Amino acid sequence: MQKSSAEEILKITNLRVSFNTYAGQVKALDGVELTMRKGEVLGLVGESGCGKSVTALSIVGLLPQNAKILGGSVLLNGKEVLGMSKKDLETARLTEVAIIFQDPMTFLNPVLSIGSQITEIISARPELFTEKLVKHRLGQIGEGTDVSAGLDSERSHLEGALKRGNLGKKEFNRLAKVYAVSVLESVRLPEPVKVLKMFPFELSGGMRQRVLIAMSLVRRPKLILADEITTALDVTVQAQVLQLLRALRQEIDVSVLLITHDLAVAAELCDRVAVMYAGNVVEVADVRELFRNPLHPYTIGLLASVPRVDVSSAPQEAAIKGSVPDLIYPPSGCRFHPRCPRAFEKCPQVKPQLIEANPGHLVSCLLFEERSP
Amino acid sequence: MTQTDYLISAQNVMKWFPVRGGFLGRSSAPVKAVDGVSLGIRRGETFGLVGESGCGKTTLGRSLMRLTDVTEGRIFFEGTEITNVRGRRLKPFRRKMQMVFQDPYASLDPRQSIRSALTEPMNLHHVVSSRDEANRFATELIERVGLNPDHLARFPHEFSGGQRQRVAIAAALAVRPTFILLDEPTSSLDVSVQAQILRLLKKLQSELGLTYVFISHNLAVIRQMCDRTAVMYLGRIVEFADTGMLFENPKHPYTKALLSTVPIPDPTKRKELKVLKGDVPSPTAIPSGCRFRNRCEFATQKCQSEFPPLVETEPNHWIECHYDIDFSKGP
Repeated sequence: MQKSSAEEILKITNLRVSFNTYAGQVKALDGVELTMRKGEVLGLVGESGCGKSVTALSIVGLLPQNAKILGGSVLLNGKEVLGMSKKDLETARLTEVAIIFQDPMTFLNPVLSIGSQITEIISARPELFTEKLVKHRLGQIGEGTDVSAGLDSERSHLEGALKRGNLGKKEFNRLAKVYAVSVLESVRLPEPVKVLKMFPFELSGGMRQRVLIAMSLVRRPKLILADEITTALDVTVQAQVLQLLRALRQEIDVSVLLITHDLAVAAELCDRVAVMYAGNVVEVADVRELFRNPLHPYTIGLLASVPRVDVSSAPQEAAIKGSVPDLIYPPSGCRFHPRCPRAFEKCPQVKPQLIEANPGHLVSCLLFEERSP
Repeated sequence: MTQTDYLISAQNVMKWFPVRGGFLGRSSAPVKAVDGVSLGIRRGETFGLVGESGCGKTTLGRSLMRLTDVTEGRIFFEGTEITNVRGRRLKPFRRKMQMVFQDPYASLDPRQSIRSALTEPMNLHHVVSSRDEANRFATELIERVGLNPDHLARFPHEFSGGQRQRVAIAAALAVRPTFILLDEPTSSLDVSVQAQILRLLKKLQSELGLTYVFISHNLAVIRQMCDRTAVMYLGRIVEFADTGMLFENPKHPYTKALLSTVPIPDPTKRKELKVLKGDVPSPTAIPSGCRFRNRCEFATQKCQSEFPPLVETEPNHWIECHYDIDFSKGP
């Protein structure tokens, strides 16, 4: 099962991670299985503490100091990430995978302008600076538009340099600016030339989140990990960001792992959805299939708990009893069994495997293992 | 209706916060957090206040509770004006009005046992006459909110977020209030726990005949919980109706836009998420005329020059807009 096909951008097998805390060892991930195809938007949903973010951090090698990887494998574009050297990881983060967090202010440097933060990333990838790309970028800023007006000097300088055939450091800086503007434009920020000179505190929450998306696009990653990127935003701003992500999907070839606690956001944007509970992926299916025909008792309860704005209903009789278990002392067998309405005698004893219950529909529950041969 | 028909009512309430700044700390334009709100809350109902962050819903709630002095306007509780009641004379009203906040971590004292958190307000407001009675009532409360009497000896850190919110609700009930302000009571909770808490609040309301004001930014939760709902934008109520009416047939362009931006947990109902242009203006520089006009797709010259009137477009359905827009056609 260690082999990954060319169609898979990400393959996580039996990933187990724990955290050492003063209270004890938190068994955060308990054999996570997740496969992502190229070009898809995969939703990773679940409640707080279920391991969504830990999974994402493992992919980019950014787990905190007290984390311990107990086993498993993470294949990013066919390459094993776990145990990679620091240098290789840095290269992977520059070229293969980008991560965007919930709170843009913890990611943006408050004392640097947006422009210098973006060009910093560009200068880390000088290979993007080729004659072909310079021509391409110049072509992207249409002449006569408001945006290009602010870039006239850059344009004439770069065109001159191209003719002379010498592209040096100076030209690189000018190109970086042009590049930064075109990237800011691609995330629909109004007046991108002006935004380059602004500082993070001058932007609204929605604009900051768009700057972060732009910064992740600069590197042309093959995979974007979007960790709760709309959670801190108001609904109207959330809609702007979701709409942007939808549009970007059409424009660029990238896979997105959309981590969210909000099932409605996943329903709006994802091709497939993986549901996590207490450190396990418990169900994976096509988005329509998952919402129409959820199989795992946890998914069923979760879907019943989501209040809906489009239908009138009373709050449900507690669809899932109790609360998330303490992962220092996780329940034996299936970790959901103490809360499961359909638990039976085998559940506390046997840990269920993620099996294919219907074509393309994976579920980790003993109810379905019984049925299969 | 007159003031006495309502449990709580407000007349043209304004709450402006002065902004200090500039040369020698001279005051500049104030933040108009609440800018002229009138409403009446009926006994036994759940009244919803919904809006985006910064629209003034929390400030309005705090004004109704007399937790802050208002800049202008009048507030009545059970027909008595409480706008300028202060200090000791406010205490009997405090007993009848309680609050539950978003963050149960912040509203409980970490060094106080749950028993003490429940009995302290009882003694303070003399709702019990003896220690035995206080203990009996605390036990009754803790069971009522779905915990068990063993929990009384514990401290807040020993509880999960949902359990802590249950304790906060029990503490609010400890003085036998008639009214509870619920300010984003489930916003920090996971959906499965949120469903449990919402269910509990409904149950308590019918058992104890409580009146709620439910503040939330989550339209779906508002729809489940509230009898009547007011939508706030930049310090004013722009639309107000029975909840079903408001969600099925929104009349104000802002409400309409707000509703169409909410994601729906059903992938077969994917739609173009309607995007409002621009950002919410600063409450120090509210646009002239209709405050929504710079983001409204139907705005006309009139919206810029004239303050919109409050109109009842159908029985019990009020909007503050110059036009009664048929959204399939336009104004």
